[in-house]
Amino acid sequence: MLEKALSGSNRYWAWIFFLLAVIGIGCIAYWKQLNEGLGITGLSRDVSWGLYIGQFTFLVGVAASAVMLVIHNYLHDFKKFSKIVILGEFLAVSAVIMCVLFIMADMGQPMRVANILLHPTPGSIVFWDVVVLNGYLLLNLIIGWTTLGADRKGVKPPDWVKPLIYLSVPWAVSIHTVTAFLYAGIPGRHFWLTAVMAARFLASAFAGGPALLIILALLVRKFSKFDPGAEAIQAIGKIVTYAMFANVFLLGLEFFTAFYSNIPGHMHPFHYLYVGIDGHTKMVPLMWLSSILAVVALAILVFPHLRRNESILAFACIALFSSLWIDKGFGLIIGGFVPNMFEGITEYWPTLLETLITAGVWATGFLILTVLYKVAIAVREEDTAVEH
Amino acid sequence: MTINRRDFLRIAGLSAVVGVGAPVVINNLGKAGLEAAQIHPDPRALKGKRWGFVVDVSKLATDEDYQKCINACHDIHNVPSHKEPRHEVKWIWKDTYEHTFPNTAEDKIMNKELQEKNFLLFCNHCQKPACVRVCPTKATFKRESDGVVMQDMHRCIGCRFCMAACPYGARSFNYVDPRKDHAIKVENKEFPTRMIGVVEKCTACYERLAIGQQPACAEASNGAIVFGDLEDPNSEVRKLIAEKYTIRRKPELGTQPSIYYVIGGGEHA
Amino acid sequence: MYNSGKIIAGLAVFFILATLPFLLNLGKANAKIEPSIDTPEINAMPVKHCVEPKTFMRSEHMQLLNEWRDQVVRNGNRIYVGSDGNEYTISLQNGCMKCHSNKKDFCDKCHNYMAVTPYCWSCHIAPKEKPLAGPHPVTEVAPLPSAVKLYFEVSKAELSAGAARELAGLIEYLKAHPDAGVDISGFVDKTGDPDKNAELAKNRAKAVRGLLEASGIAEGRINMKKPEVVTGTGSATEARRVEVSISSAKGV
Repeated sequence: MLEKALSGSNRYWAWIFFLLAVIGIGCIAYWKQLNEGLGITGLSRDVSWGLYIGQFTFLVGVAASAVMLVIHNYLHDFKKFSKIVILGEFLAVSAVIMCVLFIMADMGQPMRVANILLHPTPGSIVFWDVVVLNGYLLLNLIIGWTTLGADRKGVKPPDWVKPLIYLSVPWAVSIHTVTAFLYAGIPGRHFWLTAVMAARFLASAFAGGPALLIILALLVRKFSKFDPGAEAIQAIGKIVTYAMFANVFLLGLEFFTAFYSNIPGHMHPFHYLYVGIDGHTKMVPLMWLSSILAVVALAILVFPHLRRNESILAFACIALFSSLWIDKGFGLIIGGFVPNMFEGITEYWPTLLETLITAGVWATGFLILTVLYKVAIAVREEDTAVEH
Repeated sequence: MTINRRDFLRIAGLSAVVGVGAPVVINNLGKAGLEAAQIHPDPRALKGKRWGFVVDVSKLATDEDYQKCINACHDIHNVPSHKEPRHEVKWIWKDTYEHTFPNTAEDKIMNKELQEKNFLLFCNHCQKPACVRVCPTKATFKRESDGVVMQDMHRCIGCRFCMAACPYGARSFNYVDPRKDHAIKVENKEFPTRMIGVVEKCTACYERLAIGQQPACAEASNGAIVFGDLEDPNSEVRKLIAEKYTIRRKPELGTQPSIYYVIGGGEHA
Repeated sequence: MYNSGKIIAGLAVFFILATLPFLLNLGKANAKIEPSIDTPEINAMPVKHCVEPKTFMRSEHMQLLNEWRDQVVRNGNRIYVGSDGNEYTISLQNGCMKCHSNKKDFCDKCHNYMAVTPYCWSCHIAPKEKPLAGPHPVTEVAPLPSAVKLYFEVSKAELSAGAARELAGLIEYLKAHPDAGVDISGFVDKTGDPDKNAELAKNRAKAVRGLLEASGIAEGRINMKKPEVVTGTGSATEARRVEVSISSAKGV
């Protein structure tokens, strides 16, 4: 089936080569980082996790979001999703690969990563993160490939795929819960030490991931003969709306706990992010942009007649995705490290090289996504050709 | 014999995995490793069940007094001093009361002398360390014999989870090569440096304890830093803790730090 | 076979690439490696021996070092009892390299031949190579002294009592290298009026300049470099400082 990705229009190849170019630049930047160390990034002794880990956190959410489609399609027989499920599963594959790449980019000694498996430490959340992420990748690859292959041959998928599909549902929830545990179990950092961290993560995952999926589905419809279905897109739009409300509500809960309790350690990270402390205001415009985008997106999504207009829906999804990307992919990490453990402020901003490596990883994800989607679309287009 | 390409590739892949993997596994299964009779600790080693420190900053007057303790540690351990403040590496350092005990910082009417005092901060060698809990490779681990929270630079993968987990900011990461740009002023040839991409911190001078010596900072502190066994009721540290008023950093977090800071009591009340 | 032309051509290319190292070295002889144990420490031993016999060490020293590493770092065991019954201190820098102090002629000889780069030396400090006797003695180049930071009291620009001693190394270097210049940058902590602070930073830098001039360093070699951000990094105590460092060229 992979050979279907090798034939395409000029536009397709232009996109592929553009992605390869970005990947190439990212590789060169990463080579510099391998030789000189993570000092080429904006990280510091106080802010020891930054853009890479933020992007990883955000993308785990996107990967987990496939479960929203799987649950409906397989558990509840919601047939409207039957065509779009494969897009969700392949998005999950691409997102998980990006997660793994971001973690590798962030390691100080990447050649020693095998130590996690050679010296397993079940007490460490990172160990479990490695296990569940790789397991999820494997699950989605097998499920996606097998179901697509069966579809292409015009038969039902083999029986052994069913239990795997059922397994992928709690597994998807687990990958994001485990990632939330990375933050929620750390004693010293008040911004992260909250029980709703996992809930927030899941809510923002089920909002952001499907929002991206809507955009991708609309693009797929525009650039190919495969139509995932307007009803499917509308159904996903409803999921996005509910999940985003939950996410914003949970964020509001965080604000309440911090400021009503009046505990300085709890309030300071919020102060820093949204108002700035002592003239350190680098994050303030970004966080307000994220909030405004979230409000705008929700204001649009809450009205069904606006959702039904697909251009407006796309705009709302882009706003929502961007808002979550800023909040989860950046603000969340920085808030945990600023102020530092001595209530001092060391600000963080990614450097150019750091950004280039990040862009390279995103381009890799998009390349994998493009290739997988090309295969899926080609198979579906064959189906529709046969059916008619 | 006809075989289609997919099956051929499948068989070839499987053979490659088995062909490479089997000898590796068989080789490693046969390895014995060192026997117990071949290896033992140095008889001069200091023995204690739970090493801890009592830090009495009233005994440190000038900046130089503090700097002596810091230099004693950083010099013998080849700790680099980088120009770029983001890449700072420090195992022991001086900081204000407000930064050492941040939960108390908002009190404006407390004892002025204490509020203006500087403290010496280093790894607390907690009894229930958060950093050890989160390390995925056990590169940082708690020595069961004496409670020192160790750092195995050979195993560290540089994920910096321990840096996120430590509530006391005791850990530093090697963002750049510590040997470049003369960051190490004077090399101690009897101790290694570190390389890029690993985390480091105070290790209670385990190499000195192993040959019967006190930690360097304690030795250079002229009595301000006292090192001893917290589980030995007759040790000097226990006597100090019994006589003086001491506090520890962020005790509410349950990490049970092993550095007790004297804030009064005895003749300093 | 489908695409037999492409596959056979591909196989041929692969075969050539895979055997390229052998093909390139056809006909060349490779000298037998002779790691040297000619060091003063080994020469002084009445009976030359290592912790284990030579044949064992040659084939197993990597595994032995791995075991030693874990025993010292993770288990706190520092004494190794060799098969000869003697006790040895387990240490690469303070054990092995105390006798084998000629890394280039011993360790590196085999490692280079086998194209192996053990990363031990990224952390463990190799012993200083003794200068070679013979027609080309190695001259010692004095290392460039690193930057010195001098600290100040709040609102003050007076040098502390130890400042002259702290700068002694730099001053010595400057006197020995008449071409070298020195950069001075003054900083303040974040409290106080910004304009007064700019003046304070300048005064602090001037005080250091005065000390250098009094020690005999010509004015033209001293560069007052105003930092972009006068507020120093780090804690308040660290921020109130002047940084003094050797610059690469005079007056630039």
